[in-house]
Amino acid sequence: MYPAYDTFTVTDFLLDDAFVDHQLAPTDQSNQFWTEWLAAHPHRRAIWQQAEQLVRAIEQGLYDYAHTQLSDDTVQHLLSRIRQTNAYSTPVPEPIVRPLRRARWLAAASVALLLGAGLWWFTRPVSIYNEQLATLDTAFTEYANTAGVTQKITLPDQSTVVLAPDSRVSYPRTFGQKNRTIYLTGEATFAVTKNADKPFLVYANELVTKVLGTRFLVRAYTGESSVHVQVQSGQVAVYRDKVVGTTNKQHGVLLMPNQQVVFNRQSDQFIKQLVDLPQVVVRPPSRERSAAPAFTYSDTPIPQVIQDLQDAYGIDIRYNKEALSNCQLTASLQNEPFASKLRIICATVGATYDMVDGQIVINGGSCL
Amino acid sequence: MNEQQLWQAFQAGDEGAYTQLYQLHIKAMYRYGMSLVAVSESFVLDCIHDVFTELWAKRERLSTPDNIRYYLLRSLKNRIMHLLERKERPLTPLLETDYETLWAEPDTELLDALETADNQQQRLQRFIAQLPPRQQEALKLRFVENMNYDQIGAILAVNQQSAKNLVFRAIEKLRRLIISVSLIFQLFFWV
Repeated sequence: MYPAYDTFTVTDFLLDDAFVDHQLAPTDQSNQFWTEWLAAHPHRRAIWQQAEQLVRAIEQGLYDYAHTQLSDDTVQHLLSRIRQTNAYSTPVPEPIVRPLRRARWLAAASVALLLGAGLWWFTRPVSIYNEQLATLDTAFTEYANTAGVTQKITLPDQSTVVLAPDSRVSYPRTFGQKNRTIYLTGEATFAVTKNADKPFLVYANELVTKVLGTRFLVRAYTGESSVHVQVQSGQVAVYRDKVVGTTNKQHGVLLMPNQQVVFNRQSDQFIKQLVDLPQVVVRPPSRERSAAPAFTYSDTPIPQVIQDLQDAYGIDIRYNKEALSNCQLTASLQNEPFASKLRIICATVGATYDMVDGQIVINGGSCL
Repeated sequence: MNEQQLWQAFQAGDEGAYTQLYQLHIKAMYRYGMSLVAVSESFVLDCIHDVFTELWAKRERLSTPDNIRYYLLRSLKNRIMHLLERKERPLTPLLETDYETLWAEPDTELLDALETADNQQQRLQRFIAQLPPRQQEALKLRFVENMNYDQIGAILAVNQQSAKNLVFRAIEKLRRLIISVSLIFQLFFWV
């Protein structure tokens, strides 16, 4: 049963699937049908032809859409990514890449935890980074380091980013208007120009790192189970981006130089600690103490030595001042890394030390 | 082998058939995905990745769709919408409801834009680009992806009649525009 085509207006034809199908992809059958119909209804031919021309006009108007470019490289690359994911999920009877409801996500996470391979992070379908970019209102600039070596990038505010291999940063066109927001996946070290009015915010996986001007490193690869933020100078605050579920408290940690925070993505917890190899903190030359201490001592009171360490590395050191006030040190510690300096001091006074919550605590020790 | 047979081969675990289906539809999925979230190509590619990997994982439990392109574009849109809805700040243009007022006369701004266009194709592109997003989406699905109005309705989460209404409004505007503009540009001889 055909519609009453002989009463159709131009618009009616365009709303008729059989007509439009024929215009876009004619078949033998549709050719025959319309040829016969036009022969039988010569007085409707003009309307029919106008409808046909309107289809052509719409096609022309959609030309750019229909001819969207996609490079063969991208097609191939995506295909190999898909195959890689399939290779992971094939031997598993219940697929790990689940459809999309939150409860199922959690189930997927616990399956991967049981497997104990951290597999979930690798098969996580869309990186947080790409989700963040997808919600931006404006266009953004992206730098991707696909080379094997680090790349240095200068941002519009003259801050610099040293981007590790296999890492990307993006910033929206509004960078620097209210604040300076940048998105990272992978690892990068930031040297941020001071501007107290425009906080510098780094979004990386679940974390936001907020600074006013400093040097710090963020490591947040999609495939890794933790996120690291290390401070080289200045201070930064690190927050959980959006706490999943109902807890809306923005919890975070404040980091001083040579401290780092490791965020465990599975347990959703921060651990604050010292970086593995603390470095002497670079200070602006105008400060009272114009240069880093020489770390060369001759009968120098231990509290003085410890003060030097605290100043140079910006690390808090707790110790019993009374017990160590009579101790002295004669040594050249200039070329020793931070940990060796500490060990030598402790050995001299018979003490031990612990790293607790990003600080050093010296236990015991005395000099009579 | 037709598409339905390819699909069944893929369901039986034939990776060659799966790859062929990918090659047949990747461009349409990409252009449609990019028309929904133009701001991030890698997000769209990630979503296409998810659609295909999920197909593979669930292959034994799937039925054979009548229109495979429709099935894939619909899955892609679901995936994109799902991920964007999880965000606190959803992408505005996507969720913008389509209560636009019908304009009685082509406004002068558009006429100016059309006047500066170099040729007819550009004029038509500019005309379509200023339609409300859902009307544009319906036109793309009907006149490029060659889906029927039932399928378009399913993708846009409305019934068949509403899908037709979206295209109807776009076409009415286009016709009115052609009538008023053709006096200046001689767009079509038949009006």
